Amino acid sequence: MEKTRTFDLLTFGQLLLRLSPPNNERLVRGDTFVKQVGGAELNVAVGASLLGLKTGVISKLPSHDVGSFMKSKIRSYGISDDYFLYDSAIDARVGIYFYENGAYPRKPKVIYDRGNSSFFKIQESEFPEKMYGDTRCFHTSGITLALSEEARKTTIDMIRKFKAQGTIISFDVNFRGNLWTGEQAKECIEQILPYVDIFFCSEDTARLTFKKTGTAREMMKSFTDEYPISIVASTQRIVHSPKRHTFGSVMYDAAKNEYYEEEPYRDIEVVDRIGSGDAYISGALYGLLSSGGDCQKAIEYGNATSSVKNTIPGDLPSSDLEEIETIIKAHQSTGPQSEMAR
Amino acid sequence: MAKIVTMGEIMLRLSTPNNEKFIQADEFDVNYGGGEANVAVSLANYGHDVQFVTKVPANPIGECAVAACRKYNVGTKFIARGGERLGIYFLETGSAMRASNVVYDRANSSIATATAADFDFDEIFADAEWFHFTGITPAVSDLAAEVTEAACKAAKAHGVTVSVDLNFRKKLWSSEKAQKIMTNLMQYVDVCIGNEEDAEKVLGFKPGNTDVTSGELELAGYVDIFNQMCDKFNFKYVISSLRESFSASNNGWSACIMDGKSREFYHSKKYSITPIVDRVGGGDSFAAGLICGLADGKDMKAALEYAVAASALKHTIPGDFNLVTRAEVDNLAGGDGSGRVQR
Repeated sequence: MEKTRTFDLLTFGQLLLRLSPPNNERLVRGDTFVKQVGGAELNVAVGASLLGLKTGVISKLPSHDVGSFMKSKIRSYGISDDYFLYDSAIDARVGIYFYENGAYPRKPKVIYDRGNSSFFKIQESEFPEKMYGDTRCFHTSGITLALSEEARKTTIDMIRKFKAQGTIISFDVNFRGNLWTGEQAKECIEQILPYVDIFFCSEDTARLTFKKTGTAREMMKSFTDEYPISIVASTQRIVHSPKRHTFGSVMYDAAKNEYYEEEPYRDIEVVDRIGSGDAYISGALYGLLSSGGDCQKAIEYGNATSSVKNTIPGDLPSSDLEEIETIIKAHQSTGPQSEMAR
Repeated sequence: MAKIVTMGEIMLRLSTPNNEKFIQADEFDVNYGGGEANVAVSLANYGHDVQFVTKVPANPIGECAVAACRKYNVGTKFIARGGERLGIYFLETGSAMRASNVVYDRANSSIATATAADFDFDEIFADAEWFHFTGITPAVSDLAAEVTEAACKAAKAHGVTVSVDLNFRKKLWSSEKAQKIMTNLMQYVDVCIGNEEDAEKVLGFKPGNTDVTSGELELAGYVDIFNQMCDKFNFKYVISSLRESFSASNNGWSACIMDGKSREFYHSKKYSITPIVDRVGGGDSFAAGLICGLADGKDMKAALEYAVAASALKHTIPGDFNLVTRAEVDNLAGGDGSGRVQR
């Protein structure tokens, strides 16, 4: 890894306090809520850190005790808080979401309560200039763009500044219909696509939000025709039931004009699907950054990291490199498999 | 039994289990509470016919708050639905020399953005006998202050007795703003509950030589403040609980009352509460005990003894709500504080 830069990956986004009743209990009946910390960009940083990248999160939290809890939780995963800001205003608040697990035919349920949280007021001027030359890769998502005017402006400014310092820019559309409309998302994201190197966009989003037509592969390629994007990745999740998914992905390398794909992970026994898309990105970025841009490695690590995340409670991935490589090996092998790791 | 209405904010209470610190706990105990909801639950528990008036978001978290009231037999038919969110407060329960720690997250809650149009006060107060609110409700937002006044006006128009617990909350508003809004609301109030800090911060009355942290009580100072309050606002009764805080686990607990007309002053029996299990909602359980006593037609001394005993018992119960029965309160007020098993 490059020596002059402290980090392999810095991600930018809101940290959320997740409150969920234990196991399959319902929100309306829960006497306790399990306290967890998540957030798309945090999930990516944690996944990549577990695989061995040096990562940090750029974010803002209240300086009160609930904010401190979240910070300490993140530190336990080896994520740097060098670029955390603290809000000591009297109305400082953490973003919250309530989550209830699903089991067919009951769908999982999410209630967001993140309005006016401290992150919404974030300003680019609050961060030191040295941050922009301090990482090889910068990642954020459409959620951050959608949160508030300030968050949007800060994200766009940051992307420009990171790019100017020769940083690889990674961006996940992560479209959320409850945060903004498809038209708003399209207009805003098209402003930043000229800066993006690695672009994560699902087939549905390409079609519905960006109004693309044609096959998935044609749509992926068309982004690289319009913008100087090097790599486009698209995940494919088939939901058989809330507890059974099939997951795979396609990646397109514009310079080589080649598509990369492997056999999907079928019939994943889902424990908690939240954060599995982010886990994909952490695996894919690990694959790309550790190999100098090998898309085959990226999809293998991405698919494996995402698939196994589905089996882990909470937002955050929890797999180290050894576990992921074992899973990849098993996925690719055709012979008999042992039923237990020992 | 009396028909009683209380109005205010009910919040999601997220507390760390077993005295754990925020930074340490892996889960939160989930409870619902808030000054006026706590009073409502306590009064319903004593057998009164209680309606709690508030607004909650139309989502499962809002419904949980409603269900918490319903569980304890509080009427919920006037609870409006809508707005953005249910207010939250995070609680880390202290012990001994470690004080409890509360983090509020209640801005922009459904009740904070409610208006008088959300409530049909003529229907709500049509056959009510008592209305209770606290100084927390008008502190929540300017809109909530307007709703509070609308409720007070309607209550008065229907001949309903109005009680207030001044309950100053410095995290919600300044003393100056509190005085401006609360002084105006006092014209509707018959029964005023508040300690010397409330009297000073909310209504601007100078206290005597009372210092809560030193555990000293100056009853003469209370006689003086109560007289000033009765002179200015013509209250039927003025009441204060008297907490002597030796530590987070050990408080002295008593109360005093003045009759606004005769100016008779009475100081209750004093309880030593140790160890305290959960003091949040202690003041609300006191207000509920007092309302119950007065609404039952007890004389002011008996009503005060009932209130002090009820709230002393609340300190032993986890959560905001006081879940003791009349019999338990009567037993303690009647002299048995031994904690022996009752059989």
